[in-house]
Amino acid sequence: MNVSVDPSSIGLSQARPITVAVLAMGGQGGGVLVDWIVALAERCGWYAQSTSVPGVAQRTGATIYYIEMIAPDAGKPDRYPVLSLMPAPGKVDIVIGAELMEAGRAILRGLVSPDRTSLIGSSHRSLAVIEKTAPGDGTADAAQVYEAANVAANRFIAFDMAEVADATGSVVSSVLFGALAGSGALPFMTEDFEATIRSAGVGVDASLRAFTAGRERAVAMLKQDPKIKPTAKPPLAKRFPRLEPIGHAGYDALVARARQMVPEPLHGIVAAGLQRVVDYQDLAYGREYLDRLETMPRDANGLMQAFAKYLAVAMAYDDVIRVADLKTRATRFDRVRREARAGDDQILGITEFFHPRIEEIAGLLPPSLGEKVERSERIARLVDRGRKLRTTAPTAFLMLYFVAGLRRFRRRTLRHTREMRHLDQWSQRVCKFAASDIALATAACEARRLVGGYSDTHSRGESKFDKVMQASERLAGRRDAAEWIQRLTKVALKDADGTELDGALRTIDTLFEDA
Amino acid sequence: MTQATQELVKRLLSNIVDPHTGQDLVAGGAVKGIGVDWVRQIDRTYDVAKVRDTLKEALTSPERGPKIIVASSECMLNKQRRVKPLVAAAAKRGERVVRERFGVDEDVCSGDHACIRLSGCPSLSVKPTSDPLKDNPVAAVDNTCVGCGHCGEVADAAVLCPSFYRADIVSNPTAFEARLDRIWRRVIGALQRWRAGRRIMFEQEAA
Repeated sequence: MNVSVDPSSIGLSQARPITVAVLAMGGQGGGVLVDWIVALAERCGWYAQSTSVPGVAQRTGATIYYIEMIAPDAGKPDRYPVLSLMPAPGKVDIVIGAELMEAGRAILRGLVSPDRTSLIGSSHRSLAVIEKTAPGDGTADAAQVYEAANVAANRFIAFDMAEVADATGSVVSSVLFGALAGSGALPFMTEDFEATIRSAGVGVDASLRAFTAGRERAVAMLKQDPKIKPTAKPPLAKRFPRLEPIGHAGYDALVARARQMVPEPLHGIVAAGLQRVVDYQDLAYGREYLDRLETMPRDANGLMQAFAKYLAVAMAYDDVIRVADLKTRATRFDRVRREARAGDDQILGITEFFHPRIEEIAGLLPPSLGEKVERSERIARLVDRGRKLRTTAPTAFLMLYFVAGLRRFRRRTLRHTREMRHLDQWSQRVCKFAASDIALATAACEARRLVGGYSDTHSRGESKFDKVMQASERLAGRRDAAEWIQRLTKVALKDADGTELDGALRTIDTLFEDA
Repeated sequence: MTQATQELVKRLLSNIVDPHTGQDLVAGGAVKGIGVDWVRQIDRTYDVAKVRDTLKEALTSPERGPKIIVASSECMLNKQRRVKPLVAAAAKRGERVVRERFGVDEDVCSGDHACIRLSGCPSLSVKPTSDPLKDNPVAAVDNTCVGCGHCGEVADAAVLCPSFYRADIVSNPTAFEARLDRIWRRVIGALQRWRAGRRIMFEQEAA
């Protein structure tokens, strides 16, 4: 027989602890935040206990910290509570995510429940590994987390705390601590929060500034509409140069010609392409760019847009000369100085990590000689070695400077011959498709985005691209040809080794089996 | 190996400082002492190519019995926590200190993310680019970089790409060093200006 026993009748306390879960990646300061919360509770005379289960830098998930805190039973001061070691779904009062997707993961784990959980998260993104490893753009959609959080949490507070931390010269954990205070989810006074930071004694002033800013934002947020919408920053806009004269006679002539060739909406992309190839090689190369553009039918803006873009990318392929050129520019030195946050009174040394293969060296030679060198294993062994070059020192700088100067001879190199052959095949194919199927021609242009990178990555990308091009030949004439090429390009960008692409290509095979 | 020797090996490999003598137990020698013949010691485990080659050797060499690789670099996060306050204090006192960090050249990076697939470093991420000719976000090293150099080593060992660089920032350089730096900067600057003058400059680059 089961009998329900009232716990208080046998002397058990009915009091319930306040439970807090903190999800953070290593280095995001989750540990500091947890220490503060525990110190805060203890400062106010409560019992508090914290545990943590570590994760590994988003490979296997974030570290989950868990805190339980409870006020002493005034009637029985000599009794100590027994607190739990891990969060139980549906029984967490406060969930703190040090980053937006961590907040999302807490929802997936069931830690956030609509009847009791205050969810506090920073809306900045620190991308997870699966988002970063996609060869294309694998960034997840933040709006989905907001949508889920608005439903799953009792209260949801989110803003870009990394930005606040930056502005106040502190770290995200201080801002989170402030947001926790502002949320009113803990029964402690603001002064107690501040005293906790002070007694921790590390970076007190900056932490307090960040804390106050975080608290004020949270308070303001709670006064507004309870459903928060993502304050997504607009994606970084592409900077299109203007297709206008710049006061250089040769270039301005090209601009005048381009303006006659393409309608206004295409000026941006054509200017970007033209500037890239002129910067890459010379004015004659810019002329060649326009010559090639001219071969496309002018009435199809979408096709022209795609062709103008990928033609420039294909013409300005990444070779040793280009890399050496970019690495030795003054603007680049300035940028590194800025990124490394080096002051004027500090000396900056820049070391490059190069690993040229025999292909890169042979690619610099005239075709006949280059092909011979490429086959020589002896030379390959000599070349194939990682090299660290200190560009800010004279020897390495002069070497790279010299290689960049080989630009003049680029047209006569093996690499150039090969690149141009590949480019010609592609542009002829696009032209051929354009005669009957503009959409397919456009898709064939856009598939060029598969080609990129250096060494093996480049070869893999090029082989994927070639596979897609072969498929386009087979598919040409079908009504859904363009859609298929778009689909193939999309799956090819999903993984590096092309497994998904091969799967999709097999599906295409079945299309022809039926026929 | 018996369980007792396994236990001993485990303890030796965790690089324990002997509590009585304060000496580092040299793990490699100790392992040899208990009868393991194939031992390799790597003191700079951030040398990815070397670690890879050593592992390959261990897996393919014909010797029988256990093979042991002693990989004994200090964790870079650990080192930074230990060293950072000391370095900051030294810089404040006016001593010469070098800070290292890594970076990616945005315009050299083609956005294929091969480096990230191999490295897995939390500081190595992607960022959007304003270049209208680039489709994918480019790789970027954020400010949590502790300068371990793993990304550059990986890019080198796997023959990935030349986008990575290491920046050494020297605070309080010596007078000689500073003078030399001024001279080289003047020379390099002149060469850069000479070439820039022969190139057509577009506005975004001038900005």
